[in-house]
Amino acid sequence: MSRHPLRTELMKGAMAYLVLTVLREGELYGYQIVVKIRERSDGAFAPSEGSLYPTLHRLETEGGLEAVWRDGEKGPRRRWYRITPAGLAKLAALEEEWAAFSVAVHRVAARPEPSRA
Amino acid sequence: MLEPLDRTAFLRQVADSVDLQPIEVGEVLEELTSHLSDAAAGWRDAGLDPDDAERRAIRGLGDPARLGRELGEAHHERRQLLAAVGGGIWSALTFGIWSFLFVWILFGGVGLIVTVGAVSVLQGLRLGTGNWLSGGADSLITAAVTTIWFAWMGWVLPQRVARAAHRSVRGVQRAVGLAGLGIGTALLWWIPTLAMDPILAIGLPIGPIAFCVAAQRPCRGTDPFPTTTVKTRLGVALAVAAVTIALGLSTMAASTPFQRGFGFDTASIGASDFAGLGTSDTLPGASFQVTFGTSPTVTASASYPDDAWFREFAARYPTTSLEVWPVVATATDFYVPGSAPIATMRLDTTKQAFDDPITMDMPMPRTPEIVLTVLVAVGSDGSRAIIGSNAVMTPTWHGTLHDWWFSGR
Repeated sequence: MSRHPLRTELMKGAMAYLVLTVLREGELYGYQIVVKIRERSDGAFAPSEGSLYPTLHRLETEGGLEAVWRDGEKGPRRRWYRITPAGLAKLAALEEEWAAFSVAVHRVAARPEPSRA
Repeated sequence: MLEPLDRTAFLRQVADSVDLQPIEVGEVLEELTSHLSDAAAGWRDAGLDPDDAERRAIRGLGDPARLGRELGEAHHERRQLLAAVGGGIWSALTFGIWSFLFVWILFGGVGLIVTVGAVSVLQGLRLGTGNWLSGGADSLITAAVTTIWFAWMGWVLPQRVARAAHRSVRGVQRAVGLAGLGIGTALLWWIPTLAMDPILAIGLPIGPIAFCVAAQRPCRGTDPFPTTTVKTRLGVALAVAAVTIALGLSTMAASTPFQRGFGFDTASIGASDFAGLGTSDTLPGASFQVTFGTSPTVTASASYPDDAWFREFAARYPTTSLEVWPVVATATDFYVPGSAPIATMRLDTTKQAFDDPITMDMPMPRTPEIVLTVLVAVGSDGSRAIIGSNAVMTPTWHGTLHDWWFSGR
């Protein structure tokens, strides 16, 4: 059982958003994406690597990402992902949706104002 | 909690669960392998010993079966499937048409070479050849090519559909195979009206079955000759066709079985002697034609010298029998084995008008065969005299596969 069940569930829903966000800055391969998200969140997010690859492949199938194999300098060849215009459009939509969602969650979670007599 | 697995076992479980083409599975495994290497290196840098680092890296990817399933599903996009099925089928059909032409010419040519070669050899050995060139050889080639074509389509169609749709081949194979079996069977059994014979009647239904079986094949490449261009294939086919035509023409020119010493032994049917009427052999002045309609009927007509002659003839032979007899052909002649006619119709001669045509239904043989249609005069004492005869080849049986097997004719 995860110590942070809410965070885990949120991570599943937000995986595509996070992946597209980090890929907006340049090409990365799978492990680099994991590290990048972890670093950018100061360790708060440790994305499930098991759900990362299905997310990457789904985004690629949908046309949001392009993938290309490149030989590594030392290690094995790796599959590099690059965001496409369709991916950028999807990211913009996700940002908008996430912002609205986040605001709504804050409103609900905010302490209720004391009732007036 | 995931049990610590070794990397090979983990990847094998992923491969077993992912529903993709082998080449895609290979790429997925390669990507996961490089990830595991990176992750294990990261954990080693963090201070774990190599074994623990490897275990942590594997554990980070979670349940391998679930990962495999989700990776497979990530490649299945319903909208793409719908859009691509049409394109995949069209692609397979156009590919299949080229293949069909190639296979037809190639196998047809080879079949004809073998057939005419066999005829030549048998002619040279003075053995009978019957009418092979218009008999079962072309049906055999047709059935073989049709089956091969169906199998070929079954081989390529699921791959093309799946590739166009980014779908798992394995997921498409069963549906395409069963659909092809059903649609192909329905089309073949009820729609085309063909010149049918036993070879086609047995061979054609095999086509959709071959399609279904081929569609379930293990996923590999779609074309057994991937480097062969269409031009090369057509070139080979045309070369075979040219050789075939040359050989066929030269062989058939030297092979004319029906023009050899022609004789007909009809002794088993009746005498060819009109004793007392001053005639011998067949009836002088009588003409006799036989025609087979497209429906299984045979029409015969005989004309006689004059009415007075016919009355005398009818008094002596009160019954006329129209009979269709089987004929056995040898290399040099034909004879009637004399067992029994295929069809018979008896008429009262005294009630016949002069020069009346006679029509009767007969069971049409399923395969074309030489028959002797005979008009026989039957005396009151049972004596039989042949009025006229005509050897003909029965027409080819026409109909659907369903009619062939279930019409009950």
